[in-house]
Amino acid sequence: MIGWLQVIVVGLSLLLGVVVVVYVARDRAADVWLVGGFGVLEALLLVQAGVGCIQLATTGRDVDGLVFVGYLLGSLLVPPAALVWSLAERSRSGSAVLLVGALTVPVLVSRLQAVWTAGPGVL
Amino acid sequence: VTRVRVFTAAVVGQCLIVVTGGVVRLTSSGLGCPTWPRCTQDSFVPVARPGADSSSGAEVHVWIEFGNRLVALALGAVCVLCVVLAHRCGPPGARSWAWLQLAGVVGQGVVGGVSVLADLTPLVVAAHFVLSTALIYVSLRLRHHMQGPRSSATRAAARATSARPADATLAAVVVTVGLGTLLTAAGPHSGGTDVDRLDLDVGAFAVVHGAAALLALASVMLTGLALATARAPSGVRRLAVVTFTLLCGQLTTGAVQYSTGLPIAVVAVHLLGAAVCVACAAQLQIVTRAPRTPAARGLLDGDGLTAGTRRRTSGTRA
Repeated sequence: MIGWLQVIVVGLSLLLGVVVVVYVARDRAADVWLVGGFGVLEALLLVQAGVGCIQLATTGRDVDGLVFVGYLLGSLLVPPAALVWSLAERSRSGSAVLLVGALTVPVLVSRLQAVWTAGPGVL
Repeated sequence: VTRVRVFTAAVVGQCLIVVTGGVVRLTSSGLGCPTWPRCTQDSFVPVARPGADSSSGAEVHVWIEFGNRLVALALGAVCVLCVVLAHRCGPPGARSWAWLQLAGVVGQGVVGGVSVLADLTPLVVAAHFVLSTALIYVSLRLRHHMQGPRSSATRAAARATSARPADATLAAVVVTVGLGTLLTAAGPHSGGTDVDRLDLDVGAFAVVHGAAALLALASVMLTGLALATARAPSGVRRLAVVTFTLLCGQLTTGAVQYSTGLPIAVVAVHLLGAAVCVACAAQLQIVTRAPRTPAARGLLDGDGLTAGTRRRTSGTRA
């Protein structure tokens, strides 16, 4: 399951996390650049969900399908939910929500990986 | 203003004692003092027993358990001070909360004692923890009363739009903590050796616990959105973001401890997080609470977080 796609997803969300830290530190609300960044992240998560579902359907491994799909679909909710709140909350706190969102995605990907390999994973 | 700090100290104490109590359990020190209210058969304080095997770590267990009793005693002293202050300079509404808090802390001492005398029976230990979370709420209500009446139109708007999601958040957090308490009562950290455990399907129950946490997460997001659209004071809005962040942290530490076999350091962090999440969700519910009677609407009391922030900002401006 893990491959270049997961590396890119985790890399991008951590990068967005660093950028958002700058926003929070400078007391700035989310702008079009952050929205774009999270949009790209969402697109990658959609691709991951598609690829993940196909791999789950074709794999011969014993994977807990329900939990796996749960993490795949749950991760899709993170960027839009964080964006909606941060656009309503035009302040430093709103940017902090994006930071939490950006840090949640790597956690979910790590759990996804753990469920796929049925091992402890990174987390 | 200074006297509010005493009430804040009570809130902090109510959260911290959850952690010291958790450390007692996680280090299997529950029977470090084998009896209650005395620590040993003939002493209230730990005494070196001649011939005791000091290399077994028994001495450490005694001091950890006795440390928890000392923290409880200190918290009791703060609660007595709260009663005195509530009577001397608090509004009438504060007094009953102050007495309730003191009674709760004394009651906790008794429940803790019963848990020792009952050889750490899981449900008594669980009740000991659940009562602590209830006391966090009581201490926050009391502190809120002591802050005195502060009112504004925006705050009334915040209440009108956000009271229900904030209620839902607190309810979901309480349910989550309750489920987590039952879950841990089935887990390996019993607080002693050869202690009965609850018979639960831990794997399935963990999923239910996690689902309840997700519900709390969704509720706090709704609360945050409602507060932002109602232009509520920034302190309340920030509190929603803090609660949200803490809940995300709790979901992470929960997943980590589940997949790494419950290392005690992670579990202790999860416990502290649980206490702080309850405190934040309770404060959020308290500051957005609808007034009980129309007459009380004119006398809405505000929240300390907002007031504190305003003091700080005006300080930097000046």
